[in-house]
Amino acid sequence: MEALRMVRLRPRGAAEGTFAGPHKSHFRGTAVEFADYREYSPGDDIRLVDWKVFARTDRHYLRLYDAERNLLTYLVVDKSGSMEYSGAVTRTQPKLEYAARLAAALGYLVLREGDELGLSLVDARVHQHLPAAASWSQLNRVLDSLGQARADGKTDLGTCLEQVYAQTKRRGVLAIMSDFLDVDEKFWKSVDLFRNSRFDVMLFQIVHPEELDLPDVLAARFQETEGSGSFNAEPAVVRSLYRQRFDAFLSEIKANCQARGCDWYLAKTSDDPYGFLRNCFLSRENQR
Amino acid sequence: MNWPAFTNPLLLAGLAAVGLPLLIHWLTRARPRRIAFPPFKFLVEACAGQQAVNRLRTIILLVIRCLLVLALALLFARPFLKPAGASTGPQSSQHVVLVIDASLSMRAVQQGVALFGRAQAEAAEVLRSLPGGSEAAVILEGATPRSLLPALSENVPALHDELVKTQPTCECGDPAAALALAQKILAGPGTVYVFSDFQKSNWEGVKQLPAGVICRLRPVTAGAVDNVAITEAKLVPAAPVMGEPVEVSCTVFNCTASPREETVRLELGEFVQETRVTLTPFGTGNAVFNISFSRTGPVAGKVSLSPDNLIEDNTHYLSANVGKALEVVLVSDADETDWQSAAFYLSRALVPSTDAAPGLKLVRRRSQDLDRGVLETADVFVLAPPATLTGEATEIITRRVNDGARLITFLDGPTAPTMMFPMLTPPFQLQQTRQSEAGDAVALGPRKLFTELDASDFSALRFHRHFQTQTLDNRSGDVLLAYPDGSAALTLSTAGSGSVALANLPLTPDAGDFVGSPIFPALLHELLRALRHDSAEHAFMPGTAWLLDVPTTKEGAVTVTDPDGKNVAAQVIASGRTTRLALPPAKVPGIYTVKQAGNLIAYAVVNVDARESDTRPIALESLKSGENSAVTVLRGEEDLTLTNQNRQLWPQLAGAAAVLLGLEMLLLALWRSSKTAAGAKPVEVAS
Repeated sequence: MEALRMVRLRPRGAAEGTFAGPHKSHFRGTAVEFADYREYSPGDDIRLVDWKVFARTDRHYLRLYDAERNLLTYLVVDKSGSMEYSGAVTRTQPKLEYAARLAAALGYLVLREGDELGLSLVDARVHQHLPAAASWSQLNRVLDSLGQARADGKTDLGTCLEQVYAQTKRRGVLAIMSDFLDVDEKFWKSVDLFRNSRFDVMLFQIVHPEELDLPDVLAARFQETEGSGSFNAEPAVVRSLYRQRFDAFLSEIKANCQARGCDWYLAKTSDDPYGFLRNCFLSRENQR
Repeated sequence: MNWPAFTNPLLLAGLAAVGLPLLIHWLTRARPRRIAFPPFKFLVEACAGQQAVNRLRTIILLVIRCLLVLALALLFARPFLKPAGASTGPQSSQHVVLVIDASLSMRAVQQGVALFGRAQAEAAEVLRSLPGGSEAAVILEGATPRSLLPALSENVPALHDELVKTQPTCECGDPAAALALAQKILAGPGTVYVFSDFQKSNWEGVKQLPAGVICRLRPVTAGAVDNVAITEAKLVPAAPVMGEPVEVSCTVFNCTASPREETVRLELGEFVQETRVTLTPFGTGNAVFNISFSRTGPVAGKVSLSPDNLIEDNTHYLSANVGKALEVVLVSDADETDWQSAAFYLSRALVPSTDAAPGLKLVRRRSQDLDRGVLETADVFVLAPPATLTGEATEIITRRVNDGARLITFLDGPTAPTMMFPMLTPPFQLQQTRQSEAGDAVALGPRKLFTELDASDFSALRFHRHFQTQTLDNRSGDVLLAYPDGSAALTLSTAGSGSVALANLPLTPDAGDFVGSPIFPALLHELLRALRHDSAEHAFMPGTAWLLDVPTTKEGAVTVTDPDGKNVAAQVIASGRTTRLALPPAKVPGIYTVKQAGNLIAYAVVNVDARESDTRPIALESLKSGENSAVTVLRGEEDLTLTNQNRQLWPQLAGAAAVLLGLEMLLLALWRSSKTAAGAKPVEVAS
């Protein structure tokens, strides 16, 4: 966690947290930073009337200030069967475990800033949903949920995201951790829902190195992780074509993210998750 | 064609090995571990074509390997195709006689292969492919044809084993005798295969091919084998004496289509000489060496050329028994100082001076002074009239001539009838005396000793001869000179081991100008030379039994050893001062050594027949086929197989196996290289 000491998560848009916090918000409040004037209407707090303007213009105008709100961060972690993969020859931690570490580190960063953190564990449906909260006990709940998560079942990220969206009250940051192997048009529509609500969406795509380059075995019977299909293949024979296919798939994900203004990060389970997260945030800062 | 039959059907059990590649494939196939792989669908897409290709490759390799094993199994079983119905028809078994030329010329090497080896291999192939129940025989054609088994035999494998052990001889082939033996062995219809180089020099003697049989002639040469040979070599005189000039003359034959220049090397006794001879295409040349022996006794050597395609005829062996000076006894009762006597002219013609007649020792005797010692040691007897021989002298001279001595008798004068030596079978009889005032001319007779140039010299002379003669039947070939009325003037004939010259010529000055002519001493010495030549010239060749006369004493057994030093079984036919040995046919040319009680007494040489050196083949189409016979000339190996009615399939199978093996290796190399290239491609991952 030392790698994350100097890192903080800052949203690209305004924060809409429940509580006042360090992040800019579109809520007008009584904070110190002036934002705009608005003509008085009945029911407004007369304490906000700028009397100096009234003296000059003989009209009632209210002084509006940008309220600094805390950040709402929603973590969506894919716990489908494909996230169980830990390598056939080159053994690493399973992708789900890597995603959990990544989520935990991110949650820590969020809570450290006093922001609110929510978590959803999903596969074909939303298994567990922790509403956003800003207490350290929330971190314990998040860690418990992540620790108890078991990778199984099929994936339907699109449906799950719709359900998560329905349960979000305010905009914030959405971090999705998955291998995105089964993304479809519905998924991207769900992402669009968040983006249209000015969510800051980050996609952490977690892959095993063997998924990039095929396991180094003479021959193997490959099986579906979320299905029953299987067949024999010699990786040496098909490696070249497979690479082309997988590279095209990654490029497609990346292009979709760029088109929607989402951040896309490719994480390999052989990498250190904290170093990886730190690099992600540094590059994010540089893009601001 | 029918289904194939197999020479070794038991080996068809090897067909079970066809399943071996399948078994090996099953045992060694990759047993893949199960991997639950999340990006399964991408792998499926990538493998969509590759897996099918890979499976196809595996199937192709398996099929190739199975076919390879199948071809090998069939190859060892040696399949062959029979003509339709051959398995049950009357043609299923055959009567076949294989005549293989084993003469000297078959030792020649053409295109790196010995002709006999080629013939042997092809004959063995014919034997191997004979259908079951066939009867066969193999005849080796040499000076005397020899059958490997006495009759047609069904035991073809045994015949095959005998055939592969045979070796070519150094003999001159006799194809006519070999074909006659083949026909005798067949004793009916059948097939005669002839494997030969078909030398024109031998096959010209074949008047007709065997009748009532199928003749298949298989030439084992591609045209004439290039060959240069020494076809003849001789010493002149053949029985030289010490100190006498001797001429070694040899004939070199160029059996090639291009002119040649060859070096001829003489190695005889202490003499080693070389000379060059130029030869025209298919022409001969002579090489002459002049030597003179400095000691007496047997001597042997050889004349040789550089080795070529046929080595055996590059050497011709020579031997001689160098004698002491030739002892000539001139018997005449006339006074040798009487210039009108024959003895006067004869003695001066024989020995003009000491230097002019080296190697000749003249002893003059009156007929009454002849003693046994002189008669027993003399080499040549010259009888000149007048002379009256005693019965003992006549008997001794007759015996000596039969033993190898030479006799010249001049029939001039009334004492001549006593000097005819009837025991020596003279070729003519004295009919009557004749008086001719003008004299008679002489002409050359059937036997050639003098040249046409000499004949013109003779025609200028006139002879007042003393006798008219009558030549006996079948003896005209001994006449050297003859008078116009048919009387013999000079004859030369053999008697026992010796020679006899009878001269019906006048030897006195008043009987013509013959004795005063320079031609007289020349004729006398030429006659002397001819007498010696005839008595010593023998040509022995491999493959024929031979008789050998050697000078011996009465003590000790005579042994003969061949060029390899092995004893030859010699049978003594006659013994005395000269022992006559009967020897079995010589197997190899070379120098044979004759010893008595361990002492060398003579050499005998055996040389190859000059006819074998002419390798030019006869036009096979010119050979006359016999009655009811079919003659086929087999030019190619395919013809040989087809005419044998069984078509061997092993060459095709061997070729198929080689192709399959090569194809498998090629495909493996190709596919492995493509796999390696695919696996080495770097990965580029988006991030």
